[in-house]
Order: sequence, then C-alpha cells, then structure tokens
Amino acid sequence: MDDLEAKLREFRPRRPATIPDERLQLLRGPIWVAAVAAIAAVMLIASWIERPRPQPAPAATLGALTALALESPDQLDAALTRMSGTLLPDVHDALGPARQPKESQ
Amino acid sequence: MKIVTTIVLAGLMLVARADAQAPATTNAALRYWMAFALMKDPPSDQATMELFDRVASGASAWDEAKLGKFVDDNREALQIMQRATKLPSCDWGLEYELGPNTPIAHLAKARVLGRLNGVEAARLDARGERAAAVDVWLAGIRFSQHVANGGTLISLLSARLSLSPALKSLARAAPRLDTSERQQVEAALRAIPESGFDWADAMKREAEVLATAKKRDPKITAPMPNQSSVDKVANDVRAERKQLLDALSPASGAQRGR
Repeated sequence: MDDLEAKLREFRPRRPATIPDERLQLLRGPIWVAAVAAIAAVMLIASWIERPRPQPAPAATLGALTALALESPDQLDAALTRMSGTLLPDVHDALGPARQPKESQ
Repeated sequence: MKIVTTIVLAGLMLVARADAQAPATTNAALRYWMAFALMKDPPSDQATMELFDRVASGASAWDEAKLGKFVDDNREALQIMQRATKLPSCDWGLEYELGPNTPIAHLAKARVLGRLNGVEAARLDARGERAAAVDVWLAGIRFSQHVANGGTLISLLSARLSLSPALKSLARAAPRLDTSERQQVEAALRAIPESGFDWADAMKREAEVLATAKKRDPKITAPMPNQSSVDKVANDVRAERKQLLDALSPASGAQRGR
C-alpha cells in the first residue's frame, strides 16, 4: 500500500498540451512570408525616399542655362549632358525595323 | 556645221548640269545638326561622364572595354562633325530677339559630341595612329570655335568644355609629335584668340540681348555675368593654350633632348 502511495506521489501536476489547430498550422508559413515581405517593402521605400535623385535638366533656353552657368558652374556640364539625351529622338531606334534586313545581310 | 552645232549643244548641256547641282553649303551648323541627329548619347551618369572627361583630356588611359562601343556607335556622327569643322562659317541662326527664351539646344548636343570626339582622339592615339589623333584633336578645337561663334557667354562656356580637353591632350602628346604635326597644331592654335574665344564680344552680345529683350518686355530680368568670373575662365583657357604652345616650342624639345 505504501508502495502504491509512494508511486502515486511521483506524479506532478502538468499543464496539458494545446490541442493542435490544423488551420493555424497551415497559415504559419504564409504569415512569416507576408511579414518578411512587409519589412522588405518598408526598407525599400525608405531607401528610395532617401536616395539622391538626379536634378531635373533645366530648359534648353538662353536664360535657364546662363543662370545655371552663373549660379552653379560645376553643374553646367552635367546638365548639358543630361539635356542632350532628351532633345532628339534616336533615329537608329526609330528606324530599327527598317534597318534589320540591311544588318542581317 | 553639224559638228559645230553638236559641240555647242554639248557645251550648253554641261553648263546646265553644273548649274543644276546644288551649291555646297558653307554653314557648318547645318552639318552639325545632321551629326546631332545621328548621335547616340552615351549614358549620362556621373561615373561615365567622369571617365569620358579624364580620357578625353589625357588624364586617364584609353579604356577600350568601357568606351570603345560609344565611339563605334557614333562613327558616322563624328565623321560628319569632323568634316564640318573644315567649313568656313557656322551660323546657328539663334533667335536672340526672344531674350532669355532663346532656344539653345544645340549647346547640349555639341557638348556630348565634343566629348565623343575627344575620346575618339584618345583611342587613335592609344592605337599608335598619332597623325589621325592629331587631326581629331584639331577638329575638336575648330568645333569649339564654331560652337562659340556668334554666341553669348553660355555658348563660350559650353565650347570651352570641348576646347580644354583637346588643348590638354595635345600638350601631353606634344613631345611625341613630328615637325609637320607640330606645325599643324601651332597653326591651329595661332588661328584662335589667346584666351580661346572672344569673351569681350560675348559679353557685349549678352548685354545687347538683354537690352533688346527688355525693350520687348520691360518685366524681363536676367543677371549679367560677373566680369571677374568671366576673366578667370578666360585666363584659365589662355594658360592652357600657352602651355600647349610652350610644349610645341623648339626650346621645349631641346630641353627634352638633354
């Protein structure tokens, strides 16, 4: 009898394990993916906002370019270079399909 | 009689054909616009621009892997431009009566084409084609004069961006030039003003343009360039030209020979 009591005293109260929720288990993966994606998006937006953006090219007029040359002479060269790319359409691209047969010869 | 008539008729036909041919233009600006239209702009990011400028002024060695494609892509535009520099006049036809609103888009295109010309010369020099490189550098000098022609201060400042690299590169190459090439370069240098351009004329035109624009619209305000700043740029170009002339002089050659 004493043996039985001693054996029974060995048992300790324990919190029962949670009953597994299969729906929650299924969602666990997508939740983590969504959380990581959200953090990445926040970081991307923050870096995009902080990134120094190229100055818009001034108008290709005497007044605008002279003012730039007088106020910020160091920026004149870069402004002219950026402006050049926006002034005329690229004839090679415009004539692309027409040029293909010649190039394939 | 029949033979005489035939000869006269043939002569008349030849004269008529000669008259029918369009006269060749003497205005380089028209050819430059053709070159601008064919030009393929290289990337305009700062790193690429700096590499172009270092190579064009001889401060960095030619880099075929990074720059070769851009020269190849613009071969036709460069050839048109280089031929046009030999024409006697360059009239950009600017509408100065518009005052500050005068379109000067040609300066942006000229800047990029001038830069490409400089790197083409560097490539030729790196390949050992020195005579061809000298021709291209000299075309760059003539091009800068055409870009500045009849312009206000901004035209000269833009043209200077093409002139200075050519002067610097030629000064570096001067010790390797033969007598004929030296004479060629010296003649080209003597043909341009001591300070590279006629800065006084540009300042005068600047004031005239502003005065004309104010007559049309009294509300127009535009700052007049500071004379001392202009003088500083003019002196810088004067020094670059003198440095090249010194490098070409026989005394400089004698010093090197010692």
